[in-house]
Amino acid sequence: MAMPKHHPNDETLLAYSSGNLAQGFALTVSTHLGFCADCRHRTAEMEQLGGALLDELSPAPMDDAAWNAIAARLDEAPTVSTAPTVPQEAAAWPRELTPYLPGPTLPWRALVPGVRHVTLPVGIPKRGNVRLVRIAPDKAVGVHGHTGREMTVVLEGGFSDVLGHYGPGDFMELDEGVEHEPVTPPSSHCICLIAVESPLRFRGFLARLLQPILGL
Amino acid sequence: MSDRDSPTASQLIQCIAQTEDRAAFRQLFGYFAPRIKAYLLRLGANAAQAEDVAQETMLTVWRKAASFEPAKADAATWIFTIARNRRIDVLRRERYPTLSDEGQDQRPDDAPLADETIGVTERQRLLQKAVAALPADQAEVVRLSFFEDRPHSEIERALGIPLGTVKSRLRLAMTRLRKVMGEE
Ligand SMILES: [Zn+2]
Repeated sequence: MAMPKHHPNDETLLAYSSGNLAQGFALTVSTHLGFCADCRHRTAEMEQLGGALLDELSPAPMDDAAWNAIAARLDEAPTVSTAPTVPQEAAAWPRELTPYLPGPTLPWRALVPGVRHVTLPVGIPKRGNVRLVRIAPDKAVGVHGHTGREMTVVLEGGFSDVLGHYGPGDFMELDEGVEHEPVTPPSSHCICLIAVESPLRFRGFLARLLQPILGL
Repeated sequence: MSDRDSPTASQLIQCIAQTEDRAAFRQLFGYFAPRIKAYLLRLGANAAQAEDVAQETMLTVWRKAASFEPAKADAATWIFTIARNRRIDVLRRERYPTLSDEGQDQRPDDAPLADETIGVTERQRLLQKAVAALPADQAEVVRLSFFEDRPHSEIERALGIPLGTVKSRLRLAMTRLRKVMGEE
């Protein structure tokens, strides 16, 4: 598999490594890591920094009963969680993503002609959402702006916008106020994982009409 | 754990993995549980939550000792990632998306961190020195990233400096630290 060309920046990866990202954003990052050896390496370095900082903290004494409490639990059998069934169409996607899919089949729903989506049961602040979006070939999604952060990772196919071309594993983070218009190529569809913090803003008459339906 | 005569944390974890050595675990618990508790307190947890996460983290260390790979990470780093994930489990009631163990098997050729001639423990010590040697403003944003449960945009507010400055300080800090970790 070709290595991704677009990666999370240092701030985002540090926020991920320190446990400081909302679940939905962390999922786009971990899914990218499933594709990207370079970023796995960068993440390991940042976690090493976390280890160094943990190691040098001044200890906060535990309760007197703490050792006895844990010693009594060492023989407990751990609860074993079984791996969820991976939907067939997700077989080639990173294993980082599949535990967060809604079930063994993906309940795709049409948004507008050529665009289908599945909302994932994953946490995200400010009434945002986390979903898989599947866009048909040769389709322009429409100019839209962002009222909050958005993180996207491409799972299959790809799209282009003013920032370049995005293929499998590529990661895109857009900040508040950025506008862009993704377009899929004529020959292939695109499936992305998209986490948005708050609803997207569409421009233009058609977009405004569609907005309530899209719920984007 | 720096006392030269006693076993390293990494060796203790391997003892636990091989023989379910409770004495080794007790030593590891004595060292790390209070640090995990301190980590949680720094992040705004109350004492009961901090104790709880420290216990849960150490229980995971006991159970997963066999999956610890001493060539890839030092003990403190491994325990840090477990504590980070347990904190989110317990406090946010969410499972933090991490690298999958299942995926791990398919990536045997991931490069180990930095060069292997210096051990992971030694590198940890160098890294701590490098953090201590960072300019104060860079060290502050790095620490806040790990010890404040809030986005960088709010760190900006806490420090009274613009977000762009927070980001550039983080970038400068990471560039310096990467040199110690064997890159660039
Ligand atoms: Zn990457």
